Amino acid sequence: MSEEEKNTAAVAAEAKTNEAGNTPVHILTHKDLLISWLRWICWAQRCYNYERMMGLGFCQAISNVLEKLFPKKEDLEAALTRHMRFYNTENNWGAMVLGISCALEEERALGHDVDTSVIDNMKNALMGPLAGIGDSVTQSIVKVILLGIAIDLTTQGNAMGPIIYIVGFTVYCLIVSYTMFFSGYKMGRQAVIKLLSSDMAKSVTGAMKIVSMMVIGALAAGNIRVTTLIQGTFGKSPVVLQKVLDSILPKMLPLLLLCLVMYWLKGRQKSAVYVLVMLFVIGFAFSFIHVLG
Amino acid sequence: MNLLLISVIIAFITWYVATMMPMILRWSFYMGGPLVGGLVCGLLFGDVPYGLKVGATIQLAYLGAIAVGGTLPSELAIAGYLGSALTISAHLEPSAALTIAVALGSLGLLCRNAYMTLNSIVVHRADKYAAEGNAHMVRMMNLYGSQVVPFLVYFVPTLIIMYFGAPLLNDMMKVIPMPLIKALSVTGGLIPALGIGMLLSYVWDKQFLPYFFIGFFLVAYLKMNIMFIAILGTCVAAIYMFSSRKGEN
Repeated sequence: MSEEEKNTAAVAAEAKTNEAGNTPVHILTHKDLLISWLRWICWAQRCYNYERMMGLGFCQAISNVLEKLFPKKEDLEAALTRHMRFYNTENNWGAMVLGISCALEEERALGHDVDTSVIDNMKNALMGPLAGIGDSVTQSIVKVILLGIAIDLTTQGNAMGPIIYIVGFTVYCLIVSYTMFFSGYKMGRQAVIKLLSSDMAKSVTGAMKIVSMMVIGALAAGNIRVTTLIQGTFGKSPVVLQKVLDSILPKMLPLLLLCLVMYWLKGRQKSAVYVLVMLFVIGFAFSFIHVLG
Repeated sequence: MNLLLISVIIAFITWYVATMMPMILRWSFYMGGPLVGGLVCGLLFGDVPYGLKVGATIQLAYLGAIAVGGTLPSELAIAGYLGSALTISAHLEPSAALTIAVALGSLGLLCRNAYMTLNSIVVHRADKYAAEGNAHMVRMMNLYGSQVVPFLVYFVPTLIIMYFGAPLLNDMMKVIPMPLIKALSVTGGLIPALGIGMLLSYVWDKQFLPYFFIGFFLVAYLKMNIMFIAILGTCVAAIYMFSSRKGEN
């Protein structure tokens, strides 16, 4: 804490010397921003709650920046209170909003004409779209590909599976959130609008969807287990139904089951709980009458 | 190791992963809770290969578990860490583990809801410090104030379930009839269809459906491993990207 204070004093002095010559461009050092980014990626969701979601998480992440920018107590009080409001986004991509906020607060501290409502509105306007991109890229693409590989290795009894997953995901998060935070700080609000509307983003998302879809297909074939025990005699030769099915189309029953589940989820808009219960019913019923096994 | 010590460790890990861990690590330790939990519990109980199988099996049910706006259909820390630990201590078959973990995960939502609701109190305390301009205490509220409720709703119940539940489960498995165990195992094979189905409906795009079938049949016919599919997919994706951007010009 004392070290932090010393730093703050040193940089404030630096800013003053700049002011003597010309108006300073930056008050915040790279280190201040780094601390803010680290606090965000580590503790943004530590006090997650239904009332404000990441509100407190955002406030604590920007708090060191505010302390430095607003040495006057009443300014600091107002600024901290403003950033305690409701806030919710995806951590990695949403780091950009924190970067932009730091830049805008700095502008304000430098005496530029930035209304506080601009900062609030920017946060509100961007948290949703960035969460949208973030949730779909992070969770439905990156997570799926990494999990797919990791589960495959793990079922073979290879302990590298979980380790690859942890390392891979953490590296992805570090790179994305660092890039997002600092590009947000540098380019300000314009950056996000550019990012969201570019055709580049569309073709990248499309490309990533391809990988995601192929991995999901592979996971479906590898992990859904449905086999039938039905057998009978055809003429005089015994027939095992599962063998016949395998010769027509391997993994036919898992594929059919997945189609059924998709029909419930997408076609009939049933909830996951409904499907889960139905799977239990199917599993138990068909197992008891020796159809599945 | 004695059961009390193991129970305390499992309870602490569950609590730590659920609410305390830096978010940057929670992406993998929480979202992949069962997978990582399998390894951790395997190490704790001294049977890593078995732990890995249990973890991977449970994880399959949660492939499609996507947190949109912070809500998840299940509590992955409890399903993953407590679920794996209970299974391993009772020597259940991995596919039967899935059933237990899924049930625990749904119960765990209660814990999650409790702490998400009650932590408002901490935020209001932080509001007061913010209004006084005390940034240090705002940070302290976030770091430590936030952990009081999770201790009560994660650590305590997990400890109780693990300490009293593990021996109980062990005895129960001895008296449960064979057909029931068989049925649990068959059902365990079906549940991944839900996880994968939810995922598929989340990324659903008719235009990209053929790629799903390419992946499916590469595994069904040729038994390719997923690493290969991911590499192949990346190449196809690159071709797609270049051709679609050429089309624009």
